[in-house]
Amino acid sequence: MANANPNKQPTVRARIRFAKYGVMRFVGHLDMMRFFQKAIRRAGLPIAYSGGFHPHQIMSFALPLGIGVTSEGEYMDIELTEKVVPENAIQRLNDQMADGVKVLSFVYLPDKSQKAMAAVEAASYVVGLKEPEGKAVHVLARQGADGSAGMGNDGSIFAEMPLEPLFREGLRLFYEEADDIIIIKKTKKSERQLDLKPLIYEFKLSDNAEKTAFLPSKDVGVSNGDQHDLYFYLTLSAGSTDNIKPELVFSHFMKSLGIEEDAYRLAIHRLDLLTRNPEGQFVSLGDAVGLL
Amino acid sequence: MEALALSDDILLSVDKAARYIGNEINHIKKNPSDVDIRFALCFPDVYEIGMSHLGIQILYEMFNRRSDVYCERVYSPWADLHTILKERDIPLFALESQQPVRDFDFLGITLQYEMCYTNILQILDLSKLPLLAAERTEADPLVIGGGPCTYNPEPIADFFDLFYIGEGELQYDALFDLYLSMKKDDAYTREAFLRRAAQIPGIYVPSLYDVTYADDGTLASFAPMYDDVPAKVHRQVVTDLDAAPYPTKPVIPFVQATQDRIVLEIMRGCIRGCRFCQAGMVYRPNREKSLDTLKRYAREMIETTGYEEISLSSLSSSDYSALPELVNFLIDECAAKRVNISLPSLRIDAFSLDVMKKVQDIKKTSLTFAPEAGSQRMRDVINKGLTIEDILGGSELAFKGGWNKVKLYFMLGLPGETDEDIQAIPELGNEIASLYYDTVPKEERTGRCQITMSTSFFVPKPFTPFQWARMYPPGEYLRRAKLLNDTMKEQLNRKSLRYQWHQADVTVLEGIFARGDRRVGAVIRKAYEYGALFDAWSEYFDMEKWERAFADCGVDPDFYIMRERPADELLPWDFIDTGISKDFLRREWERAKRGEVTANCRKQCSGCGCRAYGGGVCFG
Ligand code: SF4
Ligand code: SF4
Repeated sequence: MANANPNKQPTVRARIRFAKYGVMRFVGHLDMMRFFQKAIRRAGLPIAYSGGFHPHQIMSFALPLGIGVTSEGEYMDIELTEKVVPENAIQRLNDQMADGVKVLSFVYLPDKSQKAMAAVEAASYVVGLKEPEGKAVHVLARQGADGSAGMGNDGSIFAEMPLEPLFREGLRLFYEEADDIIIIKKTKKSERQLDLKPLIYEFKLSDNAEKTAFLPSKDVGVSNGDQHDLYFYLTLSAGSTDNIKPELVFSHFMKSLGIEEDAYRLAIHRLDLLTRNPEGQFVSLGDAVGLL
Repeated sequence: MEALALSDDILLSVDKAARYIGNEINHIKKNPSDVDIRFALCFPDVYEIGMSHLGIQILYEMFNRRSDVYCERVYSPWADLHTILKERDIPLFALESQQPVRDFDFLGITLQYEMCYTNILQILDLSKLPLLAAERTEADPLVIGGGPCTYNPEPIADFFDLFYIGEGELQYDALFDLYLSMKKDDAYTREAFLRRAAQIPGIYVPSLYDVTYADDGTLASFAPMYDDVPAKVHRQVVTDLDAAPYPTKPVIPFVQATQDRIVLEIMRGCIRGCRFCQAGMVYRPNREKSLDTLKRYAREMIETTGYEEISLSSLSSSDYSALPELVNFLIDECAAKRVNISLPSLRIDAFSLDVMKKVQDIKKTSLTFAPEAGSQRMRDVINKGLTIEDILGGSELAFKGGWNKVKLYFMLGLPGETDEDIQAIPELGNEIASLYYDTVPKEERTGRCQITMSTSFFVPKPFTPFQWARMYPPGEYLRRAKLLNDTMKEQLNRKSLRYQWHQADVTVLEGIFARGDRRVGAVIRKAYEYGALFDAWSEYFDMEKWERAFADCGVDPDFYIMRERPADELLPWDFIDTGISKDFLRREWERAKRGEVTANCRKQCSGCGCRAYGGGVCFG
């Protein structure tokens, strides 16, 4: 890392993994940064500061989380002026957390390791889908504009399917058996065609039996701890190039089913951020520390 | 974790959802069934503004110290959520429990500025409470108002069950105890409670006073309806601030608040008697906190908040007697803890410039003066003891020290203001610019100096020597602003001068609310019905709605604006005893007309009446 401040005292870098859940899902990324800056000061961690008239804490976050999304795979890197025993740092930070933020791990980084943001290659999610109370949405799987129903060629059957087979079938056609998933990606400046297929590393619907096993760690509820009817598991390309959000995938998935985008309540929960080990396999951003 | 009052789809559709979820660091959570009184404490403006207010944090901490009271916070939902709450019929809720305000025992609303009046109605309306106190039932919370606008609560009197006049630290316990004992003895009805509450010092129950008007529209009489209701309501004043509760663990918002820093209140009141300034009058006498107390608070709050900045709060920090010691302490303490120091409202002199050099980046900051008037004559009229020597001397020092930006604040429309007085403002700006070019050699300059003059239009306020003064129609204010602007363009250094002025319509409205009587309430209600809301926000303020409301209610704005009141007129706020005698105010009004200055409280007591409180500068 380039050393901007030549007089800077030597520092150690640490990576913190935290969970964000419950009502905290409505606190935005910038507000979370400001929250942690204060929490670190209250915790009395020996954080390093930049130079200048208004020094700021040396801290960087990996991949901002959208509003409304919960997570147990948030990471931030900080620099400390001296080492603190990790268990002690976790304890001190957790004493300063709001209800809905919890520090899960604290590890020191080897000198030359990449910053968290630069290391991110993929993100894994669980997405809960819930049928709105009082109305079965699957009958909303309605005829497309061209008269074709749903996404298949046999729309009438489609429309009568119960929730789970409907989505299982839909997923097979949309993802598993599709050669490509071409979408138009709009940015402020341009529009471009993009094939989602190679950027979706995993997209599956959990079996009924698996459902509970798939629930995120005990004290990290998905969206207020609601139970959902279906749980999808996704691993998506993430980072500075080709950052694919689960919302985007679902919006195209729903469209392919001929279902209105907001017909179901989706609860998105990020499970982890992933990087690649030297063998090219995905590993957790937290585990990767030792490998680099 | 509590369930939220708003569903995910609502929270995902509104701006800054974190305004509505509570759960902030240092918020206080209690089990509603463990307490006897639920108090919803409201600042009727958007969260970021309301969360920046010290008074709310003081009361929040103080109320919650009682185990029988659970005090929660409420702010104005922003316009986007306002629409959703109305459309979907969702009642307004308090942040901590996320439960509806209408189920509380009290709804306390702080009244910090007149332009929040329609927001009060928004709070009542969204809470599904009757807007008029007279229409509320036993099931509704008691709506109580406090804060500076209670020094003339009459325009909003119909919307409140009671007002608390003065500093909140003193009588809330008595009010709560009365409420609890009447409930316990089964003696409680809304009416009976209000009748007895009116006997607590500082409590004003508008429904217990009869108001009559003379043919010319002025007040004919203002009197209590019953013998046991006091004719005068006495402002409550804390004499020992060191002993008063202070929120050393303030609630820290997730959303960035306007005041995103530690606020250290160093004193209350002001020793100077600027004649336009309501705060300088109604917070008398000036009372300081001791240096030891402030050191303790500062250390503690740096620990408990994690804020990166600390700011001193008072009306005029330069007048704090131990300022050098306090500032030096903060510089030492804060450097070690990496906390920045912000020092607003310091008078510019050698000391403050020296301090500012240590704590700020001078390239980024500008020097601020508030001469309030351009000519010495006018400054004498308003009793602003800032002389041309102070301004030029301070500027010269600052220019030598490396500053090149100066901000100057003035008022237009002051009593007796002439065109020459107005023109003196850009002339003063020009003189400061010349001084820069004379003081700083060419090779040391980084471009031009920048002198920004900013004017607000003067609004006469109750309990000031100018409470009798007239105002002007909006067109006249704009003429004055234009005269200033035109004169500026004639100045030698015009390229170094900038001028900004405020809206004139808002000024006129503020003037009507500041000195209005109960008849103005109907207009506020009408305007709210027409959609007026967030009037303090220029992007929402719509004069057309107000003009319609005045016309529909048959209330003539000119009656409140254009008249200079005779000194013996019965004024709507005369029933309040602020400790400042009307004789003193009259004397000051006369002296103003003669251009005579009055010494500050430290130099010489001018017998305003506040000595009776038994503390502060009067005994210094
Ligand atoms: S110095 Fe003057 S304007 Fe400022 S607070 Fe004191 S009285 Fe008011
Ligand atoms: S009584 Fe005298 S010293 Fe005290 S506030 Fe009034 S003028 Fe100032």
